[in-house]
Amino acid sequence: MRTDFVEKISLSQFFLMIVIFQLGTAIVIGLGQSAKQDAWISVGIATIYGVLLIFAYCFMLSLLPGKGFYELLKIAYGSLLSRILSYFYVLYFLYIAARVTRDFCELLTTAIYPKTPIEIISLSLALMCCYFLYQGIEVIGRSTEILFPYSAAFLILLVIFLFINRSFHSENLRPVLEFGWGPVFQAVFPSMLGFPFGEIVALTTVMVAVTRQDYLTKVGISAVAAAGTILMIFTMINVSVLGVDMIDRVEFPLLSTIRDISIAKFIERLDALVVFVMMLGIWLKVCVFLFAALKGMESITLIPYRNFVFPIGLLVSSISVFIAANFAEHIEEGLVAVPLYLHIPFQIGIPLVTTVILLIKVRRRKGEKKHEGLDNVVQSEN
Amino acid sequence: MRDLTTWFKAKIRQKQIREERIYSYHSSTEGDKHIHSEVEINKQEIRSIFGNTADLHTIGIRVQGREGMLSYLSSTIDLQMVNQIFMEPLSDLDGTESEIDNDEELERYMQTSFSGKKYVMASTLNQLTWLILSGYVVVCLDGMTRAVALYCPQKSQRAIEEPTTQTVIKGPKEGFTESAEQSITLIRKRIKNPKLRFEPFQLGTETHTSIYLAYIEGIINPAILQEVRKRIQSIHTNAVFDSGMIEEFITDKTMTPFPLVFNTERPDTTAANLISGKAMIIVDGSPFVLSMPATLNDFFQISEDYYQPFMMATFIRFIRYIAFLIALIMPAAYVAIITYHHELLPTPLMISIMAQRESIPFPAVVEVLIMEFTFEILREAGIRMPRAVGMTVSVVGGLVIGQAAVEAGIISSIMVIIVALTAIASFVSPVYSFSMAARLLRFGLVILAASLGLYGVMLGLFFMVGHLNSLRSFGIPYLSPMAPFILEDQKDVILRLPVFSMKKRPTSNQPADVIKQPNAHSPTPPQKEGT
Repeated sequence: MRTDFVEKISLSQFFLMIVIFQLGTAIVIGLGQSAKQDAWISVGIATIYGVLLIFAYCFMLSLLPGKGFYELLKIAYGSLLSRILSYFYVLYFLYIAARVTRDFCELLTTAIYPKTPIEIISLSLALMCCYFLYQGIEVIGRSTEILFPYSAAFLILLVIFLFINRSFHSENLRPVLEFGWGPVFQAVFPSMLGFPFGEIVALTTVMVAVTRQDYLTKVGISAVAAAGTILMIFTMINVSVLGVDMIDRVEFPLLSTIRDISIAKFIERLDALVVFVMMLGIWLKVCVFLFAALKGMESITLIPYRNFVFPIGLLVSSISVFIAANFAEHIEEGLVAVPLYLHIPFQIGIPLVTTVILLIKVRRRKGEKKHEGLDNVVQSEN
Repeated sequence: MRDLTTWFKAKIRQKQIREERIYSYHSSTEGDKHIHSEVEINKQEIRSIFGNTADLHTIGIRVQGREGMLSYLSSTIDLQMVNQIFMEPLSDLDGTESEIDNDEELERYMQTSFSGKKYVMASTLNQLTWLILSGYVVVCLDGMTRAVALYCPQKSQRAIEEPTTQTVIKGPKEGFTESAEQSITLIRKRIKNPKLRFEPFQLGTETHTSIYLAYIEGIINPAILQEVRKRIQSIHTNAVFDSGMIEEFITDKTMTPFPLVFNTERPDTTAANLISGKAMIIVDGSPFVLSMPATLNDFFQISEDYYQPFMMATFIRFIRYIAFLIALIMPAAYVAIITYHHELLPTPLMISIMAQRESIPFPAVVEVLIMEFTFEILREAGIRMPRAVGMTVSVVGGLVIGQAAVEAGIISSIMVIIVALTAIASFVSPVYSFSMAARLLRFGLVILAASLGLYGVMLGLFFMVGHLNSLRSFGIPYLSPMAPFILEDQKDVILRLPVFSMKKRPTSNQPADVIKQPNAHSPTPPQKEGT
């Protein structure tokens, strides 16, 4: 294994990683169904929150440049407490990775492969992600760069086809704010805070590898804003094609939306394109979550993370099967328990406290340095 | 785990030590023995070194009353040339007064009468042996402790012909031959630049093959050049017969179906590669010249792209990429759709395919594998068979793979179309070694498609992208300039913009001198009035 050079990802790779990471599952599963035709407004509000969140994460990392998330924990909390926290973060990331894997398995088993055992799909996906992780974050970043254009082209193509097919019914989007702002905000809090925007917390482990740290915040914010805009557009498309009643009933709105396409009786059933878009997102999400977890294990045990890749990957694949008995249970967990007990503390709580502690420590250290500087000056004058 | 790796390392080290011992033995036994002043002893020594080989000649001569010996391998020298430039001046020597009594006088004599000719004064037997082997005629004289060797090489090489691979319609038709010297001539003819260098190396402990590292000083990145040099020097092999044999010694990774070193038979491609800051390796005895570092898009470009109008070149390049994808995933996609995703095809087409497959006894995957294997066998037979029986194979192959198999109800006719399209598409790749990758990966994808459908194909492609991204050729990422993305270089990757727009060299090779043609500009014909 080569250890002689540092793995780096470029700004454009980082941008694309954030966009795909955000779109990932969200674009296929759909967001804010409870807000009915105003779902897109909820997504917009959630995007603003996402932008604030990534700004906060970038700010936290910029306090001590060159230090990773787990290193910051160590500096903020000391050896023992940081290890405990890191351990919990590892569990959290592994659990979310398993949830993401499960999302994908559910899509495939319900929509395309009704007879294939879920274990096979989750195992194959996990093995693929393990391979990428073994190759390193640089390879993941570059592969994102290679695969993104296809995903983007497919999405644009789908919109064009829907347009040609005259599937848009803008009356479905009206009346705007029929029930006032209440349902809109209800859709945002708390479920949309954690998913998809809050999950950026896993990317904090990747941010250290970005080459130009000075542009990190700018690129991060613009990427989240771009992803939010795309999500908003597709939420609008789903509602305008399917209508509010259908949206509530279907499991994967985008898949149902594109099944509406039938052009010249030749271009129809473009499921493969949606599955590709979904697969790209899922792949990146599982990779990034697993990477975050593995980096945590590296910081706890001080053993290079590549030693853990395959066992942990297999573990995630089996957890993804065990976490829920069926799809309904899986979704229920995701909507009720996870945001409150996992997302909010791990995405907002701990990083916030860490930032405050770091801020105090950094200020204090700067003060000390100033003093030292003064001492030096005094000495040299003598 | 760790114990095992240290054990392996120790084993490898032991092997290295053993090999080094063998090499040092080889080079030291005959060496360092000085030439004896008595000719007869030298003769016996040479005889004992070469044994009773038929092409060794040791002929006694007399020069100025002095006993002498002429020694050469008739297989490596040109006898006519020996007579012309060597024997005549030597026989003239008897009439002149100038005496040759010692080594200094001999050397002075050589300087005066053989000036302008390539000659060497040898003093050890080891040297002498090596000179005889590489086309020199050696003269030993009684009483002299140094021998004269004159270069009279036999020039047996085939004429320059059109290359058999990488052919073009419009462009130079010259190809390299097996002679390295001729290859160098062909390159030098194209690049008249004092900075073009050919560094000689010798490889093969038993064959002593000469290879040359070509590069342009000031354009190539010095770090890459140093790396290439280092890798050539660390080759420990006994024999080199083709550039392909050293390819495996110098690539960054051998566990990959993709070639990490580019090879070409064309002098113009070689020259273009040199100009863009690459290093080339010329091996004596091989018409294929290696080029490094190589990236994936090198294998989709051909020199003809630059000799054609840019729109056409771009279009053809695009076709090549598409053809590669077809060769890679066409059979797999067919298997996936027929086995799992009927709904993806329009209904009438699906019905027609199903009707054809009605009488076929095999599942789609077996059908595909049978046909692909048959095709691979035919292809290999087509290359290896003697030219005379070529017709037989093509007739039998055409019948077996086509008509008869369909009529016998073993395979469906749509399958024949798929295999044919795949086969044709796999020939589009301009570099042979790259189309092999698609050939090999195709089977893996077919099996994935049979077990997991289109998801399996996507899985395979994801794996492939990951693998490609993990590859590096002499430190350069294999997929650059696509990943990492370099906007500057996009003028000449999938697109081929007009030549005057490319003011810089491709930066993915990280050349030392980036600026290529700063003053290039588009043609400016006189404008019409009013524009």
